[in-house]
Amino acid sequence: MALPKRIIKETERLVADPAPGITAVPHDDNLRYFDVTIQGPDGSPFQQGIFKLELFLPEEYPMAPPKVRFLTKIYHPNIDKLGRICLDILKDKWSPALQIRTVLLSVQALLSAPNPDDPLATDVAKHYKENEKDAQRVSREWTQLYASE
Amino acid sequence: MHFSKTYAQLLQELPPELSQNAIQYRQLKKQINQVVVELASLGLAPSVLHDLLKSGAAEERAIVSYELDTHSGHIEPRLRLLAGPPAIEASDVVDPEAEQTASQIALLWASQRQTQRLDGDTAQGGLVIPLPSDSAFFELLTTTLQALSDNLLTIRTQFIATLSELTKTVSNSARPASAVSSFKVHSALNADAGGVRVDASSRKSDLYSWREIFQLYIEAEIFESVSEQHRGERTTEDAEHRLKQFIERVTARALGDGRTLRLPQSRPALESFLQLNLFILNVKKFELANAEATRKILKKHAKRTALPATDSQNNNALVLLPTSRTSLPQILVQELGTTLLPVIPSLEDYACLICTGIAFKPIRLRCGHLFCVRCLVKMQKRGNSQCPMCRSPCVLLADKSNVDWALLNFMRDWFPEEASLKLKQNEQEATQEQLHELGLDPDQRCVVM
Repeated sequence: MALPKRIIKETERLVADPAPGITAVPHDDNLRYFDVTIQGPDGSPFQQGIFKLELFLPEEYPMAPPKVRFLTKIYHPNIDKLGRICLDILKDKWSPALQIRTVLLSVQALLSAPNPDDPLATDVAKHYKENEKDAQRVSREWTQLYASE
Repeated sequence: MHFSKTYAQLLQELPPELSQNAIQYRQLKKQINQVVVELASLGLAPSVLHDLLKSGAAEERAIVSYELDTHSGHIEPRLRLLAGPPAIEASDVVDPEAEQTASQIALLWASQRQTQRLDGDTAQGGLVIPLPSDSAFFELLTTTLQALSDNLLTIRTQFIATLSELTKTVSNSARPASAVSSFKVHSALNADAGGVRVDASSRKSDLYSWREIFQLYIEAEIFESVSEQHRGERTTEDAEHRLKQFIERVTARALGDGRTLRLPQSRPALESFLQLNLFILNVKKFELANAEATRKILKKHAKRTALPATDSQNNNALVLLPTSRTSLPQILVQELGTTLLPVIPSLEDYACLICTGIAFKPIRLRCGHLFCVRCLVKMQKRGNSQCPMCRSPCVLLADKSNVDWALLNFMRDWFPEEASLKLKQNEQEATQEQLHELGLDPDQRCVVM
């Protein structure tokens, strides 16, 4: 099926005028599949890390949310071992007025503001709740280990 | 190359209404020479003056300070000599030159005390030496800058007049469909409310050509960038390059000739539009060069005379120099963007946020947000009740009564082609969806059993 106009427009803008610290490039053979990188925000334990993600636009997009997953290992209470992200706008709070760009900005913001009260990786969340400093140290270590170029 | 030459060359390239008010760089330079002569006649050659001014408070024997007096509303520079009491006994001095200096300072001290006694002014004190040539320099600079800023004001007024004339012409030649098509009582349109008919052959409007030109213009981002990472004003070189590219694109798409601009008034209007942009570019060049000239001449002044006019303590006085606080090119670009460009409604302002096509037919939800009928039908089928913009639960409540008829007519008028295309697409999509719901695949070929 032909690619909807909206996806074409979004892709054009993502490539021509990317949001700071974020890149998203569609695959040549599947224009609904994007290779994404997000820079760890300054001031967070993920600072200076470059995280790889994959993003897929399902057939029903934009009625249904894009599917986003971390490919780079990350120590974060809302991201599990498989890279799945716990973020409301990717689930029940999705709105068709949101875009690839806004979704990725939200993911970037999630790195700055981990929310251990709504965990996906329970062990990481427990660590963050009991000893935040030490948990952040591990996050930094993992960033160095897995997310540096 | 010397700046004065570069400056003169640039001025030659600019239209006379700009260049005739340029800064008199050479004249100012000559005036600086006069100041140097004047200072030398006071025995204050730049090197001497430099040492004196630098020694400042550290050396107590004589303090010279340079002041810009602004009480009269003009900048009147003067030197103030403050000598301390002669500390050195004449007998201690062996060096005859130093002896001379010492006696001079003693004389200065004496005369200073005398003036203080006369004025009764001990706080200020000192010997004040007015510098007429230097005053003349600042007077010349001030009047030039004043004339310059007055001139730019006139230019702005003229620009706005031309722009409003152009706006009128464009809006006349890009009238919407309803204004140019003849009214038929027994039109099929009446039976088909909400339908669109495009009769391209009888279109007596350059609406679509103008829209394309303006679209290209906005995309070119000639004077200001709106991209996320490099927002803001562009350099002159960049703007010049982009303006050229824009003109090339307009020509490449044949937007400038009779094939696309059919009405007689349209082509001169396009020419005038390009001229206005070229003019903004020239003003930009001019403003930049003038700022540079002012900076350079003040620097030269400081270097040749050793008078520190741009020192922090004198900065207050230099505020008197008339400078334009907001850049004129930016104001002109803004005028253009708020007066001329909105004459032609842009599709972006009437797009459905979900499918990004024209929001046709437009449905206004109870919360006030607007989407195309097709996207809302899809949302309703999925049972999504929240408005995509504000999450108020009104999507499922929308029905025929939510059609925004005024906007629908407006869109039919200004976007006849887009609206008609969208209508067709909506129908196709709806048919396909219905077939899917019936369990049929419209892409599969019909199989006769």
